[in-house]
Amino acid sequence: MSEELLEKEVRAFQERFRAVREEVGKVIVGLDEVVEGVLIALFAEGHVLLEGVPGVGKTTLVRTLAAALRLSFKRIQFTPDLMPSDITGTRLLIEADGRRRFEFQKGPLFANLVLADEINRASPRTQSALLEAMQERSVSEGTTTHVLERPFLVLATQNPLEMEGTYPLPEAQLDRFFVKLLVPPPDADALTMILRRTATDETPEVTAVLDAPTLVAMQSLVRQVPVASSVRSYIVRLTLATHPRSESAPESIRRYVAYGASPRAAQAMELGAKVRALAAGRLNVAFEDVTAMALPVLRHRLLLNFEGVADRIPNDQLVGDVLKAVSPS
Amino acid sequence: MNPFISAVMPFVRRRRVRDVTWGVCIGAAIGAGVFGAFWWGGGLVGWGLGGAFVSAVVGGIVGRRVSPGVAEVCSLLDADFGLKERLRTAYELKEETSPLATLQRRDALHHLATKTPQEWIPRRFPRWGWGVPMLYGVVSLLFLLLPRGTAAPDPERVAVRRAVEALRPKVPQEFFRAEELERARNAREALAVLADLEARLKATSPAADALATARETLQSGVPRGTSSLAEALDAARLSDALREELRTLRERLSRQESAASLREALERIETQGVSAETLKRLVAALRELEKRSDAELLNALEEIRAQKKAIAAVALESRRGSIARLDATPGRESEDVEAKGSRLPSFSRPPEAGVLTLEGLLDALGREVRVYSEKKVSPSNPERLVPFQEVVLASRQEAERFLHEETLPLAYRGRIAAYFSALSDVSRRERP
Repeated sequence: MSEELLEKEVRAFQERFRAVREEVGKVIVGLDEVVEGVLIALFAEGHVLLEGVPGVGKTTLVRTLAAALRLSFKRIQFTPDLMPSDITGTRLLIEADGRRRFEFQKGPLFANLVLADEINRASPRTQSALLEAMQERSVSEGTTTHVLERPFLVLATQNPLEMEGTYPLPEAQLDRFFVKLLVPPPDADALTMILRRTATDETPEVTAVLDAPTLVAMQSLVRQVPVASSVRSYIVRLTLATHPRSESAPESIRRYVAYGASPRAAQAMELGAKVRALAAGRLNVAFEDVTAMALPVLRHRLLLNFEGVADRIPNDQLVGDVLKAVSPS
Repeated sequence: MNPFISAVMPFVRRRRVRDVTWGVCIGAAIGAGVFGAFWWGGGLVGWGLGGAFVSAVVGGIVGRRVSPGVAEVCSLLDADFGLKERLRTAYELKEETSPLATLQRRDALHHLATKTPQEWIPRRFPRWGWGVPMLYGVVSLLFLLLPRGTAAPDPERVAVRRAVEALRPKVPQEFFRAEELERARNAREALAVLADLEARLKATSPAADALATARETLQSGVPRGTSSLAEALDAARLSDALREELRTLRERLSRQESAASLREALERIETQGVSAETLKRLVAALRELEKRSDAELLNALEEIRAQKKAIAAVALESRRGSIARLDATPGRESEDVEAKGSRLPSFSRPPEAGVLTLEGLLDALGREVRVYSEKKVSPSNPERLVPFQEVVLASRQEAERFLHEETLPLAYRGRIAAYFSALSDVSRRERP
């Protein structure tokens, strides 16, 4: 690719990112950070875990995003009786032309955007089927492997209120989510706007501004963004500081954390920082990009020990301590 | 040079210049404070100025060494100008030729082009930098213009110079080698010279013994009624002896200018006749000369002793604490402790072993000795034990007085000094 073409691509990335954000913003009110986090994960080919109380717009957000991206969208409502084949697909006996054969019927997982609603309500077995697909981007059926079409993004939601009858995601599987975004309830202004848009006959129109091939190209461009050694070193130090046995770990990590973040966290921070840099029109990653990605990337990757759980130490506080303890330069 | 590096180099150079000037100023300030003491305290102008200069140069070199390199300057520019690591990334990609790397470099340079080195570092020279040389110059000028006291001379050297001046008129010049005494670097050497002079004076006293012998011989050798000495000289045995005595006396007197006439008279005695009256006058003159010689000798010896005491007192002044501790009688300073120098033909030879020297004496007396190894009967309290050091000190004082005032062969002087040194060793071993 020539420099001029590349320059156009970079400018286009910035514009498209802004365009998608604006389109989603027509429907979603007061969730700018969440929307940006979802978009960053989208362009970094990462999956998102959304946590929020019911009715804050998690499902609406994903539907709106799907409309703005002209991507195939499927919603899966996770229930305790949901089976793995219900999401991955199953073999059906088909009779045609006088002959019977087994044919694989693809499940709802075979979409570009998959909304896994209330993922913590499904059984661990069903969760594993989804998470395997998230990691491998393919579904195995017998001896056949079906590759999921790119782009493939899973947005899972979970309700922090209901603990009865739920199956919390294991830490190893939580690690597969690029970011965990907390969806806050709307404030007064946002609620007013929501009412105006949803309780009236005004229905905002969302225009598709991106398609799958464009999105894939943009995802490829993200990976080409260079990272200075000092910035990469900062990412590494942040990741290592989440481990209680690390020399750079702050006191709160040593006291309340049993296990720190994995290398996936470092990968997520770098990719997310690259997306932020491109979205800002820069061709290099800055320290502030990494700092901005640290919280959503690390908050679900810290495994608390008994004392942390008993004292109900919020993970966000621990990540904040890590950011204070590790300076960029 | 790489185009990116070329674009950053002006910033790098400006930072280097600033670091070097800061280093020079800080070095000069430190040097002015440290080496200024040499000048202000000791009058060593060269040390003061040279030290400050060297310190400034060292400061400049250190400033250059710690000045950041290109990579660090890029990071600093990113932070100071808010360039969001553009420059640092471009520096690391400076050799890459991929389109993205080229684009990124161009973007970084585009942002850098809006900045100038002067904007980054407005001042290369610290504001306070001018104050250091100005302050140094003002203080130096004050010290140059204002009268300064001279360094306090070494008290021992002063005492030696005084001794030279005092002895010069009193000690015969053929015995007093003033230049040797002036060369003495400290009290120990000076005392050794004076001890040597004292011994030589006593051993070769200016014709005192010869005068006495000649006088007595003349008095006893001249028969009554003899009209001339020549007749007396005709007596074989006596004349030879007298002739020999007179010749010896004449040779000794030949070294004294004041006895020139007497020497001539003695020549005439040998060669010409002389009347009894003349002989009487000669004897009287000899007696007078003898008295004067005795007086001169005594004066000289007394002056030598006085100067030895003075020099020893000055030397002991600095060691007053160690001496006063051992003084048996509180409040009375020990003034009889004097050094006995060895009789050395040359002052380059170290003192002989066993010979008591000032340092050895002070070292021995410098230890608190509380050994009660002898029971001394005290008049007031017969049962009271007296400290050993009191006994030793008293004996030593007596011995030293004897050495001063009495004529004693040199070998015995050494033995006495060795004896008291051995006593000090015993007292150290028997310390409780």
